[in-house]
Amino acid sequence: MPRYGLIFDLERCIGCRACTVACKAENSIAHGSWIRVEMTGGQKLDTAKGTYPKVDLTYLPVTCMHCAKPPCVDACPVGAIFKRNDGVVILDSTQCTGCEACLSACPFGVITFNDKDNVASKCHLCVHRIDQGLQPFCVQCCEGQAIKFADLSDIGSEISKSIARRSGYNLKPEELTEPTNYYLPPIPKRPV
Amino acid sequence: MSIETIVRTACPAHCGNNACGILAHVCEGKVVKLEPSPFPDNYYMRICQKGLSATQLTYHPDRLQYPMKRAGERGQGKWQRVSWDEALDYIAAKLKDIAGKYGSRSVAWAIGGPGTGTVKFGAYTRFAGCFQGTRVSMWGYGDAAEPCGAKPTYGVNRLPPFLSSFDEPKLNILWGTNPTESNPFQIRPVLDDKMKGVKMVVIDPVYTITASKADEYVPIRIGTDAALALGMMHQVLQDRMEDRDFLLRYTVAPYLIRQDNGRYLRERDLISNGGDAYLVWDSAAGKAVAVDSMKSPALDGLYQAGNIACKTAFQMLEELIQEYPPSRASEITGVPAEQIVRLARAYATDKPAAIYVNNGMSRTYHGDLTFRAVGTLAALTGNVKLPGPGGHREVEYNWGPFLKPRADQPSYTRMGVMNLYNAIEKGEPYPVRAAWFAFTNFVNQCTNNRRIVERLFPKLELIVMTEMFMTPSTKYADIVLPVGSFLEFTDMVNGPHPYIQLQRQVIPPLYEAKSDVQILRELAPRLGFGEFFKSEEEFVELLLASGDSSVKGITLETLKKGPAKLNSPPVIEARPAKASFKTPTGRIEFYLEKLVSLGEGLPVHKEPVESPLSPLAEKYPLSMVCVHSKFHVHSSFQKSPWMREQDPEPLLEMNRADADSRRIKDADLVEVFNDRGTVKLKVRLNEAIQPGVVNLTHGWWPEEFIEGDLNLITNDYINPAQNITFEPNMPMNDNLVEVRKA
Repeated sequence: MPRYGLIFDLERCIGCRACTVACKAENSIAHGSWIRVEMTGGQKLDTAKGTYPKVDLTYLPVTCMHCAKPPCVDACPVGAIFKRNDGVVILDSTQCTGCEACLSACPFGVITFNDKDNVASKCHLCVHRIDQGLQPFCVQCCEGQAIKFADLSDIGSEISKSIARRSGYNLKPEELTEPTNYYLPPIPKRPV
Repeated sequence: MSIETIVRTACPAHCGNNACGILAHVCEGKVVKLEPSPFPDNYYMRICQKGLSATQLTYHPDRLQYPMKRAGERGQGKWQRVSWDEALDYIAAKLKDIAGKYGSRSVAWAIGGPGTGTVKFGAYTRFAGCFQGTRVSMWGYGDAAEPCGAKPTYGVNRLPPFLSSFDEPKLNILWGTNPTESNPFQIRPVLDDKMKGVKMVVIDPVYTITASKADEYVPIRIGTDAALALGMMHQVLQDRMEDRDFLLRYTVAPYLIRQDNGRYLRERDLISNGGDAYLVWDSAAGKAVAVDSMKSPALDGLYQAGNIACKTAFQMLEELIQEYPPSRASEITGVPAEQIVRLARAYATDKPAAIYVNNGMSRTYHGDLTFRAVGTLAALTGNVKLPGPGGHREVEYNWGPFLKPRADQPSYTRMGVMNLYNAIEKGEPYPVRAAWFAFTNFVNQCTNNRRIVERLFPKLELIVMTEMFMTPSTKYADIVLPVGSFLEFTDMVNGPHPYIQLQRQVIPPLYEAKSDVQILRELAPRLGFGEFFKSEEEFVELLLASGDSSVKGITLETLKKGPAKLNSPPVIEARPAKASFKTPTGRIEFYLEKLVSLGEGLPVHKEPVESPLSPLAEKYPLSMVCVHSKFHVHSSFQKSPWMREQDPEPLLEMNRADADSRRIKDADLVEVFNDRGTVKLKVRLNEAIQPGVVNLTHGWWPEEFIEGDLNLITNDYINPAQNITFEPNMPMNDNLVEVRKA
């Protein structure tokens, strides 16, 4: 059984927001987006941390982790959120009653809420595209080629090997939701 | 269900000559989605956040819909809708009248760059030519100092083909360039190299996103890059790592320079009926000989040729370099001396080592010296990709016959944009009395724009602008003509290298908008040269057929099928016997006799015109840069809601140390000011900004500031050297300011 998810290479992420905008465009999201860009280290967006010139600036794209144990699924009182066999966690907005229980349950803050329509929504890995063999649109539009769409169940794949080689990690493992998405940390600096 | 059609086009947003291929999805006549288009090599399949949001400009409610004629005073914003015939008749009559009174050169066409569409650019230039008017060159909008340095030194406008086009570089130095934000797809090959283990260095006054990717960041004081290059050259010489074979074969290093007048020694200086041949010192023969007959030329030394004392150009360069040991270069640049040493060693050792430059370094007053110094460092170490017999194969068109179709009469007069200021205000070198601005937001983007509004525009008897929106510039126009977005007409765009693409019309123009080419096509018959103006597609064909070998065989039909690859350049051996640079000597000319009178025969370091070391700094101690944003291309995309959601307002970025000493906190309102003006906006503290520097991202429209706008405080000083080598540049990163809490 495949287990689809996204791998974010922080070495290649340039914080451009093409993913954020691509997601809006593809999924007709008027306000906000299902994928946002943060900084590691908690600094304000697009600013460096440290003291000049000893500074650092690393972006961190965040979207639905398509957890193996998604707390949002259990939290939804009407069964509007479910996990497909291929691992994709889907929120069916047409069934959503607007209780916002999923927003509270998700440790990653990746479920958005539209006050106007009173419904929650979130990343579904562009199922309408991946089911046709296409890439999720954020992957397609990533300027730094930092986002890869992959079947994480394939432990022999190049992606899986790169996760092992580069010490890829999940966000918030302590939440025990077993996120599918992985992050590859920046390559350590090598002075000339 | 409605049927969706897909049209392959290209986005000419002008991120350099580097357009992205786009698939436009059309549903019931409306463009509903843009996505990256496949390429023969999908490495080039790409789109950016701005490109994705381009339809928001096409369908923006503020689109200019009809030709508008000014009804009140200029700047008042009162307009009267007129028909196209009325507008074009009015323009034609005024142009004839002004040309009759002041001569046809008094009408100037000031347009944006060819990166926004080669045909559109070409059509305006052709129009200026048929009118025998003035064609204002766009280089000086911020980019001219690179050709000012590169052209006399390497014979081309841009250094990258020589300095960074290696197939497998062993080191990548990005010097004063921030592609992650200003030209994102240029970072892909650098990141690819980095993943393969190639080290990456970024030299920049700002710790940019590009710098964050570097293995090593080199923090440099603004406008001191030539001193860094000289310091590196010092270390190269110290380590005896200079490439003497390269210097001898491909540069003017062995050429003799007269010490009495600083000019190259020529045969006629020694023999009464001698020719122009440059002379070198032949060590074996013990005399000066013509370059072509040199056998054992001296690279260093002082020689007596006849009764003229001469030094080799390299000797003079070495003497200059001796003044810049890393310790002194460090004092000037702020870069630690040990870092200069390591950087120099790596650059001279890890060959080929690439230096990526772009136009950022053009934007200080002596930017030309910077490019010359960096180009000289490359030559000193032999880190230069040599040109083949036909030169480098960047995309080239044979512009001549296209731009000047009437061989029977004179054509346009070219004028650099900074010289337009004096032409309008002072009539120097001749008066300009009418100006047509197209695909340029002139008032917003030009430095010291108070002068434009208060002292230039009142002298113009006619101001025409073509635009999609009413902008800070159209406010002052007499006639504003509505043009379509790039989805509404056809053009041809360059890039991504090595491709060219058709920017194919996807939908008909909205409202009464027309393309620039169509507007000129309708105006030309009114001025008697209608036969030279055709449709966009015909112009594409004409330009392709005009005959440069890089595009030979590519036709409109080819481009309709998809991107076309340029013909490969001829393969050449790594070190050909003879240099073939397009300079007077055919060699890299690090010594320029025409700049000797300005003390710039060699690529010396000179302080920025508004240097923190100057007396002005007592009053205005902060250097202001205006970097390019990832959320707009110059002043466009300002009206895209998706971009504004990411980047809602202009911010002054400053270091905490400078903020603390001024009792300024993050998000405070501040005033940035100097003698030229004041801008009021919110501050953002950012440790990416060097102490002593503030950054105000360029491109924001005045209405987005609380008061004023960026270009009220930038300067318009003309560097006379740049008028000698090419055209002067706006030094928009060379400003002293002070900041106070508002």
